[in-house]
Amino acid sequence: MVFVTGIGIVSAIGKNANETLSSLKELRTGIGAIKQLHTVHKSTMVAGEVKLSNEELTCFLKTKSYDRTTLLSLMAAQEALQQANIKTNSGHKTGFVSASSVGGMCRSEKEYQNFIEGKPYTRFIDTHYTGVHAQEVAKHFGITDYVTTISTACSSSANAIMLGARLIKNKILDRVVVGGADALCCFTLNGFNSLMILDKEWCKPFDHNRRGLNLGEGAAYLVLESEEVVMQENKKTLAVISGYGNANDAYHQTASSPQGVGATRAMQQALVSAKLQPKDIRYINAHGTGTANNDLSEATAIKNVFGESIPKFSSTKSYTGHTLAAAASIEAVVSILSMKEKSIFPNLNCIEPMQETNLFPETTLQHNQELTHVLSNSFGFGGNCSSLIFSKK
Amino acid sequence: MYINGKACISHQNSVEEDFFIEQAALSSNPLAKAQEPLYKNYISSTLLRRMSHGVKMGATAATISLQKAGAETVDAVITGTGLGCFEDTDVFLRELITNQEQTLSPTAFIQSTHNTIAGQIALIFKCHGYNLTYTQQGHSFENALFDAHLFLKENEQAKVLVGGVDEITDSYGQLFEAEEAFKKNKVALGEGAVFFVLSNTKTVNTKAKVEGISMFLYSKEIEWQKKITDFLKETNTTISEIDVILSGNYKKEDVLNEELEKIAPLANIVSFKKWCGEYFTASSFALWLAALIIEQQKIPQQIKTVSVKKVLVVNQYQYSECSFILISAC
Repeated sequence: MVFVTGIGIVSAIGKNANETLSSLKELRTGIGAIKQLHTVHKSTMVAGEVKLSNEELTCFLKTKSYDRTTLLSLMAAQEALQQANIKTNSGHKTGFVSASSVGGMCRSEKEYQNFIEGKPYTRFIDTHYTGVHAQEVAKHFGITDYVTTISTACSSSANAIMLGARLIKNKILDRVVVGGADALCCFTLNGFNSLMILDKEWCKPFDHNRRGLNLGEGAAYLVLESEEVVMQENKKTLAVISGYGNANDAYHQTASSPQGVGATRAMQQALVSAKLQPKDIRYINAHGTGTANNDLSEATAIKNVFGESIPKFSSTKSYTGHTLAAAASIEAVVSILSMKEKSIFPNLNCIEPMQETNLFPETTLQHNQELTHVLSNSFGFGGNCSSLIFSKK
Repeated sequence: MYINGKACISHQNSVEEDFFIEQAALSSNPLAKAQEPLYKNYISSTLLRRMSHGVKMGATAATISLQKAGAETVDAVITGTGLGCFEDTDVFLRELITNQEQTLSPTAFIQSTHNTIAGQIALIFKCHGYNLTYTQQGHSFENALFDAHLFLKENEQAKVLVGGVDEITDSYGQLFEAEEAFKKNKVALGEGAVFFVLSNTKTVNTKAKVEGISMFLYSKEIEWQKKITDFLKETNTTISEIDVILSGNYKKEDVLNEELEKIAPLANIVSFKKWCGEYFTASSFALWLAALIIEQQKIPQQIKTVSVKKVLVVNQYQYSECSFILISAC
């Protein structure tokens, strides 16, 4: 078995797990006016920004000045490691598997104007690459046995969690910090805007009148440990990674297939690998971006897998915004908090069910839920679909 | 892991493997751009229109390696790219800045994500299976190869397509300061796409298998002798069994080759970056070359014939990411 022994999270709804939980319980979204990012869209768009400037993050972490992705990664990884009470150099083989879609872009895009205009600029290419944050954060914590970064767009950190679990199962590592980080930047904001899939108001996942997604930023990490380490050190555990699935929709570079082929496969594979039946799943933390295409495709896939007995589900992107490569790990932390609190955090802003599927998410806070098994979905550009199952230990 | 199919697009005419082994030439330009094949022979023109040259190289190398393996599709697509789709990133960034964030076309943005190549391959070959992209600078291809190894342990009957792709553009050359680096080190900045079809089952065409892979970060204190011996021990190999070492030394006055000569005095030590240039996934070129040397029992630019059973790839990227890959004849 692969155990979760620590969680760390920073997003628009809090700079740690406690703050995140309070926001979720109080149905408080973090999506609002853009304050940190310099963009011409400041006054017309909303986003789920982390409410700290780079200077404040650097000061809080007492670290040297990194780009925003690295700062967010460092912050969440630090909390996860502290909670798991990890001392480095413990003799256990330890890895760091991260995920990012933009990496150092948040810094590169600021220098790029000078570069293209032939004006002097500070060399930024060495921190541009997606994997730089992972190397820096791993170095910071003295993690050397395995360090990598996965970039499969919006499903990236689900695949990081999956790889971490596989590395432990195959006895390559004893423990591994898994998750992802993405800072909001002009590159992605304008990219999604050019695709015309940004809602200028709060996103409404699974609502009939949904108009698109809100972007967010943040980072989240889980500490995964093998059964042997947990037994040896008599560790407190939060959950078990019991299943995972990775499939490709093979339909279109950006759009999901109307039949939800990849999503269906990912969920089915996760159930098979967890040796569970659809009826065992008590809650789905959906990908639920709020775009017309995703929510319908995902709802169709959920129907394909669960038939008439659809588990309770919600999209918590209505709190954090879509944090891209960090989304799956942020939602993994939310799923684990749900299990721990025996609560389902509702989907905000959803009023009218989608006519095509008639599926309706939870819209009020649900208490006293025995969430033995929780499924979390993450889908991305390039047809990348991944599902994870978290179970009570 | 048996190599049942392979294909390489690089600065050399490496699509034609016989030609490469006879005619391999030094790169003489700071940017060692790839010799690109006629893509429309491999990919439909509708798809080609939107593809950057990195995606074209990747999709084409994947297509050729599947053809060589006689496979119509695979169970998993695993890619590594250090830089990702820089051509489209550059296009979108320029447009964003010039148009002051207004009225942008989404095409370049859509194609700029790091998983574009793996996604396009899944689309072309209808691979609904496992699909992953690693982006860990000079370890990107090694990470992908290691995942292929895990996947084949977990799925013994599977066929896996694994590859490394990186593209360069003139902008990237400027940002990397390739000209200065070329003057100093005499090694160009390169690009390329290399794909392999791997499985646990040998076919009639199989000539080589991957025996082991190891990754670590460079430090001045590295004891190469110990590192290499430890790695070979894990694969039950001794240093005297290594016939050829493909070295990823970079600087002209590099110490890596001197070290290797001391450690393996009997092996043929061949520097490979003079052919493909320096880039994040250059180790995929080296693995392709290692397999080709075993297949043809010939080393490029060497007249004497050799008997090659085992080839060790020793790579370092910019004195940061280092790796070993061992392959043997079968």
